[in-house]
Amino acid sequence: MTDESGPGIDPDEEALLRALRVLEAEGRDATEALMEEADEIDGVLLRRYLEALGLLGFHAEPVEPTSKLEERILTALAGNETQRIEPGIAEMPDQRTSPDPIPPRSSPEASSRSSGVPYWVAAVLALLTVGLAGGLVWGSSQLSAQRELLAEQEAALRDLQRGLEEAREQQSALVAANRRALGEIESRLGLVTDLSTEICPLRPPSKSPIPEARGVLYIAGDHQHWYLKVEGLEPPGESRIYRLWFAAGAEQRPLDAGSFRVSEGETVELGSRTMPEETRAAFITMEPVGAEGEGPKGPVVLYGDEVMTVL
Amino acid sequence: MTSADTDPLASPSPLAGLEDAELVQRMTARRQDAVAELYRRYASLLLGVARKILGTTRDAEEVVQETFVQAWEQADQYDRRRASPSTWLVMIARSRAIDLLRSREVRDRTAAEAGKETRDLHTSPEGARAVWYEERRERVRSALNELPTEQKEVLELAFYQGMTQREIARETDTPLGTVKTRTLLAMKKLRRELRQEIRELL
Repeated sequence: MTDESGPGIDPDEEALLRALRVLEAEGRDATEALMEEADEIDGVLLRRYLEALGLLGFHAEPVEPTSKLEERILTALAGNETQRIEPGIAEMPDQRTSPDPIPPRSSPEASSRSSGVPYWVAAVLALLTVGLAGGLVWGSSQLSAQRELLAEQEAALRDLQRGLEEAREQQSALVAANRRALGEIESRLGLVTDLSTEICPLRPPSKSPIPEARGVLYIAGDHQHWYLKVEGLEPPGESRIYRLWFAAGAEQRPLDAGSFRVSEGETVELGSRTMPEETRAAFITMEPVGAEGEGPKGPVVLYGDEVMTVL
Repeated sequence: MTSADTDPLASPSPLAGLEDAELVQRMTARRQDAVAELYRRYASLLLGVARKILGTTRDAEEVVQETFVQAWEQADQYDRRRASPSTWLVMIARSRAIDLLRSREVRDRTAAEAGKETRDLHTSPEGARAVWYEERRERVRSALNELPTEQKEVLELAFYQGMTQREIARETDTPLGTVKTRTLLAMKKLRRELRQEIRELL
């Protein structure tokens, strides 16, 4: 189910990937995978994910077993192996029948007498021993709980750090995009205000389906850099698209300069730093979607071949 | 796991006060009464898991029987540091059920038989099931419902259908990388949402 974990992988993710292997192991391998040694990774994290997987079982609607099932299981176990008869937890073993003879327990007084230690000293020592053992057990459980808490907080911190990194990446991408957009605006502003820039108005031909459309093509002095602004176009529909053409050379050969869509009331702005040699005219047509590589077929909605300078 | 303290079904057993891990320990000493106690605590859970995978109670009971036999045989390999007994048993039952699902190709007849069986489905009478069980089940259900649908779907297909991520990608017509990401995100969220329950199991 999972990829092999590589060097430098997040310990939390490594534990998770290890836990998920249990889901893909088959048959007895699954329980072996569950019990496998995993000392090289964070055992606490692995254990948490394994328990999360186990808890998924509680999502199923519980089903009450038929009365015979327990009997069948116990019969199967008895057939599997002869059960060793042992007393229940509530039953104390009968010492009279014990195969290992245990010497009779002597009374505390007798014991203290025989060892030469007063009874009260033995009792105090016993109490101290019990108290010390209890303290050790309590301390151990507290330490274990603290470790678990620490592991959980470390995992949460890693999640936060990851989120922060993602936010930083998004912010950087946004800043870069804004810089690009600003650069583009500055470039266009420079173009439209440069005294050497030529202006080519695009107007709808007499039979244009969109007579309200208007456009202006700004062409830099190098006749390469251009910027087009179009207003009044209508959304072309799902199956059609607008396409800009430059007519170049004496024969006015149409060259595809790109396609675009437009939404209701949208002003279209296009630009590029290259323009075909000897461009004589520019026009926009409405073309069927998927007709790239072919010449203009659709109706011309805007056309311009008159060039004027700003001055 | 101290569920026995509140499980009304376990009260008649002299082992009712023992923790799950202690019961598994007794299984290594070949104590059938320990199996019986674990059965009282988890049979309906394991049956529910197996039935959800296989669709029929008959097959599910077979799986639960095999689960307890396997647990009996492998009790000495159980390591309480690795997983709680309930997780150990759930994963055995799930694995056996998926094996059966594949080997008998019951997938096809599941839908038909599940429909027929609805009337015979045995569910616990009201109040008979332990309170802890219902509470845990509700929290798990709530945590799963908190997940986005597509994340919940990958977990359910992996856990209850035994599908690999590649199979899930094919089944859901989703890129493999997306399936992997969804699984990881889902598990991380689940672990966060169920941290209290997980702590109880540690």
